[in-house]
Amino acid sequence: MKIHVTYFGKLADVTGTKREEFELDEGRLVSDLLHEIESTYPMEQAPYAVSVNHRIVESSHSLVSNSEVALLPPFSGG
Amino acid sequence: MLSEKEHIRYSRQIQLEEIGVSGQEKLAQSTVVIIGMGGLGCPAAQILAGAGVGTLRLVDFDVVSVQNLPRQTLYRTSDIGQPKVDCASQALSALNPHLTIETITERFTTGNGADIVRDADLVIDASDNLQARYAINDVCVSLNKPWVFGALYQFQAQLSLFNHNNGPSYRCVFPEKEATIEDNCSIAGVLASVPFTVGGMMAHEALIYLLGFESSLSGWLYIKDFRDGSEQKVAVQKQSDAFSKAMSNMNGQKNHSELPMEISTDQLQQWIAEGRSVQQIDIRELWETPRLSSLEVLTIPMNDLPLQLDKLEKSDPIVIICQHGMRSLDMTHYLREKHHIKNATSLRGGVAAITQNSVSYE
Repeated sequence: MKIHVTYFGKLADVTGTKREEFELDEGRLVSDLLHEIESTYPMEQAPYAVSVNHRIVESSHSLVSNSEVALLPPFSGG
Repeated sequence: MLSEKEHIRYSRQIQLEEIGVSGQEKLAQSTVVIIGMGGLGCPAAQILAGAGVGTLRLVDFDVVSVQNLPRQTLYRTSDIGQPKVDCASQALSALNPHLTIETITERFTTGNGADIVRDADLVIDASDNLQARYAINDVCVSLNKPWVFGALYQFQAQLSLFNHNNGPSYRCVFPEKEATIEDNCSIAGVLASVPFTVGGMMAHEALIYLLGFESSLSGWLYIKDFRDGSEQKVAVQKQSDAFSKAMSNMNGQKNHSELPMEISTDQLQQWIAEGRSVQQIDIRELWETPRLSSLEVLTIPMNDLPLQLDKLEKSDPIVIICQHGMRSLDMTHYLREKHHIKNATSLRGGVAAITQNSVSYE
């Protein structure tokens, strides 16, 4: 299944892109997606919250085909 | 009651059916705390002052610098080096003489926050670091105060109204402050129009709340990218452990089991940089120089201190300071043994060490 991921804030710098797509097996969880992302990029540079289809979720949340995932680091500037 | 002059001043707002005289009076009777008088705080304060919010309490420990001027529009070039809250207070009073502007030249922490926020209707988080943002969250959660949240990373912004009507708080999105390097505007860079726009949106959300209108941000994290124009509203569910995390951080201030008898000037600076609430007491005689000019240092000569123990903070670390760190160590022993004031510690090397390390107390 296709999963659309948007990186916000510093994570777009870490990954070098604002948006990309992942191909995962059916029934995978957010934690599976994060594992794949974290094995590709140095994500430890910024903590982040995760939303799926515009809702903040835990990493145990199940993904469905065409889920819109956003990785949201806390912004500190002001 | 609004005066005739105020009726004329606010007539464009009053003529809106949803506001009227009663709405304008609500604003006049409201107290809003603005924490951080930088890129977000300046436009937010300017709009709230113009709109007639009766009491604005401005909190910022910093002074105006030349790098602030492109986006912090309450300040002028001649204000460089002056405390931001004083300059902002002057500018806002000139804009609207019908208001009460209060200034607090301190860092906002879990130690001093409750006293700053307690009697306010609303808090605006216009700070520029996560330490302050968690402190604002935890103080507001402990006092059940709503707060408008706004934060930036380069061209992107996050906004919400937290802790409103039993709604979610900051820790429902970001449960714990993690130890990573932060990217505030001085590190990440910022275009002047972005904080100005976001500060304006925060002021709008504040007015919506004060007027009793329904919030479109409570329960949501709104994210706007001012580079490509995209935006998202992400639903935030209230998390059952967010309250206990906030309260635990508030209470954590009271735990001093690991506080050593002496700390170094570096340690003190680190606490201050981390935004930790610390009470500093200079126990030298008044004629001893150099004096510490920081507003955060309380002067109580050694012989007077036993008579003024009520001035000591119950929960924050109390750092006792003398000229070379000898008398302060004696005083720390005395406070701990005689009066069971376990949150006292002595500054090693005293003022001499501060001067040697060129620690700025200005």
